[in-house]
This record gives sequence, structure tokens and C-alpha cells, in this order.
Amino acid sequence: MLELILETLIKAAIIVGLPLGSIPIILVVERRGAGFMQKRLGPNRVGPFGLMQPLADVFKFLFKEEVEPSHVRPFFYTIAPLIALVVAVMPLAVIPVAAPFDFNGKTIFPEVFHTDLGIFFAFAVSALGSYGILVAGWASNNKFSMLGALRACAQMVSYELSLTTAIVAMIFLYGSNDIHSIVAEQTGYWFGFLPKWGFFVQPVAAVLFLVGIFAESNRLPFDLAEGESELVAGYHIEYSSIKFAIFFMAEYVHMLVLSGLFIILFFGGYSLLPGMELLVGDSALMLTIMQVLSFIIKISLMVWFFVWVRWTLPRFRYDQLMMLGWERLLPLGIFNLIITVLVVHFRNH
Amino acid sequence: MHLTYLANIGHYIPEMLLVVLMVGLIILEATYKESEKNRPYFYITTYIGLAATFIALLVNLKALPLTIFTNSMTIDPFSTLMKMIMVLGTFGAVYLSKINRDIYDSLKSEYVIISVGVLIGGMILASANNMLMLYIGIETLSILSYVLASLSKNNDRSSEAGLKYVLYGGISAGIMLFGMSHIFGIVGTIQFSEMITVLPTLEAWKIAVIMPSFLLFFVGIGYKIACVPFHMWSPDVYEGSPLPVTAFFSIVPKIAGIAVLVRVTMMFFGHTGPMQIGWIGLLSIISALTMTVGNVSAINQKSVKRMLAYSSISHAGVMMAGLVVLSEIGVRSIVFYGITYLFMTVAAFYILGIVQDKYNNDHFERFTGLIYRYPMMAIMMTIVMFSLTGIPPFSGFVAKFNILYALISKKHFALAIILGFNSIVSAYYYLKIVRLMILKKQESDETISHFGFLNQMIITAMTVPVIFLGIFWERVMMLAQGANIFIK
Amino acid sequence: MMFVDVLLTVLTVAFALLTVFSKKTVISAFALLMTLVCIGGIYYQLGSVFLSAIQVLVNAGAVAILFVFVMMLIDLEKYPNNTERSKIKLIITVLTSLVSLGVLALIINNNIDTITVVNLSDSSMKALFDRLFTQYYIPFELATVLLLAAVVAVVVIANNNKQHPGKE
Repeated sequence: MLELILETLIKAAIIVGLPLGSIPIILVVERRGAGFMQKRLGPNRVGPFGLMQPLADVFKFLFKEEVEPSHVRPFFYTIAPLIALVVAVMPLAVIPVAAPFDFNGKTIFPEVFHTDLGIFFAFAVSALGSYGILVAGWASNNKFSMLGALRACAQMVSYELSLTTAIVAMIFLYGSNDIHSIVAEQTGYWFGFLPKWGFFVQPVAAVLFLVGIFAESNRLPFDLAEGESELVAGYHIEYSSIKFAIFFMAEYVHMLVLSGLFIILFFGGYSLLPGMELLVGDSALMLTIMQVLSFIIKISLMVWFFVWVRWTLPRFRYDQLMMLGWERLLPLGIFNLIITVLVVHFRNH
Repeated sequence: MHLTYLANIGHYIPEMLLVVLMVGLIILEATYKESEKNRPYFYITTYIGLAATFIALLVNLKALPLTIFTNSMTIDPFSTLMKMIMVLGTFGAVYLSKINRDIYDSLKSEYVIISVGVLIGGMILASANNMLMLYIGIETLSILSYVLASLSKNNDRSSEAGLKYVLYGGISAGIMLFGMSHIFGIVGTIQFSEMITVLPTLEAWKIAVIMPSFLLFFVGIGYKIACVPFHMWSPDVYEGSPLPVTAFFSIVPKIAGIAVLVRVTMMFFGHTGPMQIGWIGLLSIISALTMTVGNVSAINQKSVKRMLAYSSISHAGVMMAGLVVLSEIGVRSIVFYGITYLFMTVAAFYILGIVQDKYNNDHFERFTGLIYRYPMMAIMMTIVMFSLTGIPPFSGFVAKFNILYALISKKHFALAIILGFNSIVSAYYYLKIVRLMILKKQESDETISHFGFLNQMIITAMTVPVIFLGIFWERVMMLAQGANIFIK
Repeated sequence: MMFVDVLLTVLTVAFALLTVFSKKTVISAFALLMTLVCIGGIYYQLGSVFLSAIQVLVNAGAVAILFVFVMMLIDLEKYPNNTERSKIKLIITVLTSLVSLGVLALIINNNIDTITVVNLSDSSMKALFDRLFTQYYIPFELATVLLLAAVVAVVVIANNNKQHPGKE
């Protein structure tokens, strides 16, 4: 019993602490990357190449005066950022960073919460993601916040549908919810050089999923929730200093979680990048370390992709967004699902 | 398992036909441009589909009774007869919607599609052999009916009717589910056939717990039939809905609800014991109250539609009275009553629809002096009204007579006397129309347009069974006699 | 692990009571959400893993969002909940609650052996789907038809694109 608690705590510290701790790095990448794409320098004063900028930001948020407006609803105003953060962090519980390995004779699953559900748990819990924004917008007692919150909530609910069709198609293809078996199916190569990644098997589902995760994490081109030019700052107008920081942390963690899920389903998860087997040799410890490293590299590339898209594409208008979600992506997703089911059925018989 | 399913589908053809019809109608409707008023192919497809369903049901009538889909649905003569009544009712309601002005041109096809959906729900309900199928049937019936009730979008009464129906239906469905979950907790199974073997063997404390649960379960069914403590939604909903919808509601959900009530009663309360005494007592009281409340409330009505709504409540009460006897005679009389009730109701609503279209309201006074301008229509209306009251030689009399016979043969004298009194009271408001039509001079010289030969023929065609069943009722009675409920 | 069971049950009842008795409608909506999430937790404790995920995904993540959405859009401060107090209502409420609790206790007592016998050694999802796709297949498909019909019905009601004749 005590062992179980200790093991879970260690895993939680790593698997949850690492993303939370990498938020400053993502911040730097985003701001410098933004500058790079807009042909200007980003923040480069604080520390070498501006690498200490997030530290400065953290200090600012911690020590800034906490303005508590008098017209907000007291309980929900305080709790909204916490809801956003908790719901964003929860799916991390089922994301494994490496294959199960032996330690002192016991098999250890390198995920915090090992369950039958596997990947389904992550999606079930991220369905609750709209509540943080909704409560924030409503508790601010401000028409602009309310508008931003309602738009964000409608957007998240709509894109959840096409996201779910893509996920179900992939789960059907791999035949199991368990993340380890999903990744195991994606190890290996076709024709000797093409990795067996899900992206090459189901490009349609991959594109659907990609669009879906941009919408779920409220990142451009789907960020009308905080449409800076229209709604001032959307649902977090009334929030200042640390609560605002928590919202941003929640958004980045959500982005990381969703990229993690994308990588697991479509890019092989923690399976080794091509060329890395040479480094592994025979030892199991090296294998685990290399798997963790592959995972981190893939997620970093995905995060860079997020930043890249943010500073390239313009924002969608609300009705365009709704039309895209319901009239284009959802039928495409259902069609893809039907084709997948037929192919799997005939493959098995 | 797959082969059994394929074999089972062969027996399930009527419902499959209806599902295919519904989907086909949706696709067909999408091909029409919005400005097209007439949609001939649409209606022809509907009629053909409904006729095919009827024929498939006729074929099923000859087939042996059996349970399909792992015991979740029964196909037996009783359910097939009830389904045939429902299909004919839908046929009449669809034609009524085509010519009536209450359904807007832009919504005529939606009406048909949703009606077919309600019919599917009714057919599921009539064959249910399983608590789950019963609930799915009731929910399909109800959810689509909510929309039908509020189909006149520019009319406030229609939206009010829909809203009242939704609220009432939602709560009743919740209560019924609560009762069903308690029954499941005590008995341990949802299959009706398994419950029959378990129910006689329950201990006393379990019976004390299960009786109120059956009462809660009855709430859902009673709400569908609109019997007395659960009838408050019925007049407002029937009055607010467009006329074809009211005609549809008077037939299909009621017959489906009666079918499932008959099945539940005959199955679970067939063995003597405290449960039977309790249930039969409950049914008798509710039936007596329903007949009385329906009749007495109809006396004061100024609007014919509302009067017909209250009278349909009392007819449902009469059918429940036939159930109290718990035997073959009772079921036979209920089925016969259902058949005659179908024809009388469709004819009455059709004539009312024509009058309402012209005058834009349905007060009693609009029928004044109808016999001088349209003798055919007036005579048909008179026949239908006489039949509804229960005056010989029309079919309404035969139907009520059968129920009375069933009641008296099992010595339920009090209920028989109440039934007789209620028939007398109902004579007042049914014959009020007849009096206005025949004995009063007409208000003005207006004529009803579009009332040509075709409509007159259709009215006659609808009224002929009313007379015919009243005189030559032995053949149909033999058909109803064969309506066995299959218990397995 | 009894502690988690008891905690979840107490939380569910507390949130359910809050839903019914709270004076502000938005708090009722949020308490309903928390009740649904806690019921998902109870499903997990009873061993049905898939059902708990579906409960959170569908009930708490879609249905309750709609509730909260509507509560937020309508300014309900003008229509406070009914605060009528009456002794007779209180007495009847308490009596009915006690009777229902007694009935529930009897029923659960009746079934307690079956609950502990169910052995979900292999995946509970497999056990669920074995039953769902063989024995209860037809209710499953008919529920699909029902959902399709309900979608059609809702679109009919909510459709503003068609021209209707003028108001009567």
C-alpha cells in the first residue's frame, strides 16, 4: 500500500511536474519564435538570449497587486482559474512516457493512472475543459467576458464532436484503448524506412484531430475566446496577476496534453525515432531513456508547430468557425469512421 | 447469433418498412425546392409505404406468435391488430394534414415524417416484451409528439401545447423510470416472461414494496392514455395543436398505451393474489373516474376540438373498463372498441377539419344549419356522433355493448352502471352538434370551397365502416377473438 | 478503499441536496454538474470503468454544459426560487423521504449478494459490450433511431430559415 502511494507520487512528480515546469521554456520559445516569424527580435534583454524572461514574468505575476474588482461574483471568480488548471492537468494521468519496464522484479507502468480505459480517460476528462472558461466569463459579471466565454464554450463543444470521431476511428484501427498497445502497433517500419505511424495510415483522421486540438486549446486560428482585437481579452478581462497567470498555465498545459495525445495516436508516442535504435544497444535502461527522449523531442516539435501556426494564420470569424466544425469536419469525420469500420471488418475476416 | 438475427428480421418487416419509409421521406423532401406547394410524389410514397406496412402486418397476422430478438419483442395477433389500427390512423391523419390549413405548406412534409416516427414508436410499444423496449417505445412516441404539438409556429396556443406536453411528459417518464428501477431491484430481471415466473413467488414484504412501484410504473402509461389523475395535459395540448395533429394524438398514442397496458395487466396480474386485487381495484377506480371526468368536463365546452379531446379521454376510460375483467372477453372487446373508435374519430376530425378551415375556428355554432348547405356532410357527422354516443345500429353501440357484456359477465356491476350513465351523459354534447346541424337555420349563405366530389367521397368512405361494423360485426369480432396475447 | 466509497457517496448526496435546495439557479446547475461527476466516480468504484468515462464525457461534459449555458444566458435574478415555507409541506417531505429511503434500503438489501458476486476480472468494457451487442442489440439500434428522429424533430422546431404564413 505504501509502495503504491510512493510509486504514484514519484510518477506524478515526474509526469505532472515536467509539463508544468516546462511552461517557462514554452513561453520563451513562443515569444522568441513570434519575433523570429515577424522579423523582429523577441525579448532578449533578460538573461542570455532572453532565456530568463519567464523568470521575470513569474516574479511580476507573483508580486503584482492583486486587484479584486467589486462587481465579480466572489466564489466563482476565485475558483474559475483553478478549475481550468485542474481539468487541464488531469489527462496527464494516463499519458505514459515509456514502455512498461521491470524494476526489482515488478513491472512498472510509467503512467500515473493505469486503467482499462487508457486513452479514453483523457478524452472523457478533457470534455470538462469548457467549464473553466465558462465560469470565468460568467463570474466576471461583464458582458464582454460573457460573450467570449460563450463563444469559447460553443466552439469547444462543437469541435469535440469531430475530435471524437477521429479518436474512435483510431481506437477502432488499433483495436484497443490501452496506450501501450497503441504505441506498440506503431513501432516498426514499412519498406524498411517508413515508420508505422498512424499519420500515414489515417491522414484524414490526423488532420481532423489536428484541427480539433487547435480548437480545444483555444489557440489561433481558433482563439476567439480571447480575441484580442474584438473582445479586449475575452474571458480573462477581469483577472489580474496570479489568476491570469494560472489561466495561461492552464492553456499551455492543455496544449501540451493535447499534443501528447496527438503524438500517441498519430506519431508513434514514445516509440523510438528512426535512427535511435543504434544508440540503444541492449540495455533496458537505455531503451527507457531513449523512449522518454523521443517522446520529449516529438512533443517539442509539436509545440513548435503550435507556435508556428499561431503566428501564421489569421483568426476565424465565429460563423465560419461553426460552419467548419459542423458542416465540414463532422461529416468528414463520420465518413472516415464508416470507411475505417468497413476496412477493419474486412481485414479481420 | 447473426443468423438468428437475420431470421428474426423476417418477422420484423413492418417496423423496418416504416424506418426505411421515414429515411426515404427525409431524402425525398430534400429534393423539393422550398417554393413547391404540392408534393405529389411525397404523399404517394407515404401512402404506398403505409399500405405496404399494413399488408406486411396482415401477413404477420397469420404467422405463429413468437418472440424475436432474444425475447425482447413479441409478435402476436394482439399486437399486430393494434398496430394495424395505428397504421390506419396514421393514414387518415396524413391525408387530413394534406388538405387542412392548420399545417403550414412549408411544414407539411415535416408533419408526415414525424408522424411516421411516432408510429414507429407506437409499434415498438405494442410489441414490447421487455422493460427497456417499453421505455424506448414510450420515449420515441413522446419526444416526437412534443414536436408535433407545437407545429403551428405562429400560433401561441400551439407553442403552449408543446411546452405543456414536454414538461408533463418528461416528469411522467422520469417517475415511470423510477418505478421500473424499483421493480427491477425487487424482481431482478427486466424480461416480462421471466418476471411472470418470479412475481407469484414473492414474499409479503416484497409485495408491499413492489405495489407502489407498479403504481409509479403506471404513471407513465397512464399519462400516455390520459386517464384521470394524469389527464390534465390533454385538453390544452389537444386544443392547441393543429387539427391533424389532434386527430393523430387521439388515435396512435392512445391505442399504443392501451395495448401496453393490456399486455402488462394480462401478464403480471393474471394470478390471483394481493397484487391482482390491488391492481384491479386501482384500474376500476381510475377507469370510472376517467369516464366520468371526461364526460362531465366535455359538457361545458364551446370548442368542438376541445370537446372531442375530453371525449377521447372518456373513451380511453371505457377501454380501461374492458381491461378490468382480466380475461379473453375483455381483450376481445377492447380490440373491437379500438377498431370502431379509429373510424369514428378519423371521420369526426375530418369533418371538423373541413368546417374549421372555412371558418377559422371550431365553435359549436359553426355547425349551425349545415344540413341545408351540405346534406352529405351533415348526415355523415350525425352518423358519427350517434356512433360515438353508442346508439344502435352503429358500431359504437356494438363496441360499448361488448364491453358492458364483458363487465357484467364477470360481475363488475358498479362499473357497468357507471359506463351506462356516462353514455347517457355523453349524449348531450354529441347530440348538441346534431341538433345545431339539423334543427337550426343556417347562419349565412357561404359555401365551403374545395369541397368537391373527392372530399365527399372520402368522408363517405370513412363513415361507411362506422355503419358497416355496426351491422356486420361478427366477422370483425371473430378477428378480435383471435387476438391472443402470447406469453412466453 | 472504503474511505473513497463513503466520500463519493457523501459528496453525491450533498451536491444533490444543494441542487434542490439552493436559492440561486446557477449554483443549482453547478451542483448538478458535480453530482454527475461524483456519480461517475461511484461507477468507477463499482468496477464499471467504461460507464464512468461515458458518464463524465456525456453527462457532465455535454448535458450539464447545456444546462449551465442556458442558466447563464438567462438572467434569473428577477425570478428567485420559490421560498414558500409551510409546515405541512415539510412534514410530508420528511415522511416521503423516509419512506423512500426505507424502500431503497430494502431493495439494496435484497440485491447486495448479486453485487458482490459479479466478478469483473477481465475488462469490464468487454463484459458490457458482450451483452450490449448480442442480447440487447435491438434496444441499442432502436435508441439510435430515436436519436435520429429527435434530431430531425429539434431541427423542425428550431428552423428559422423557412417562410411561414403570417401570424394568426
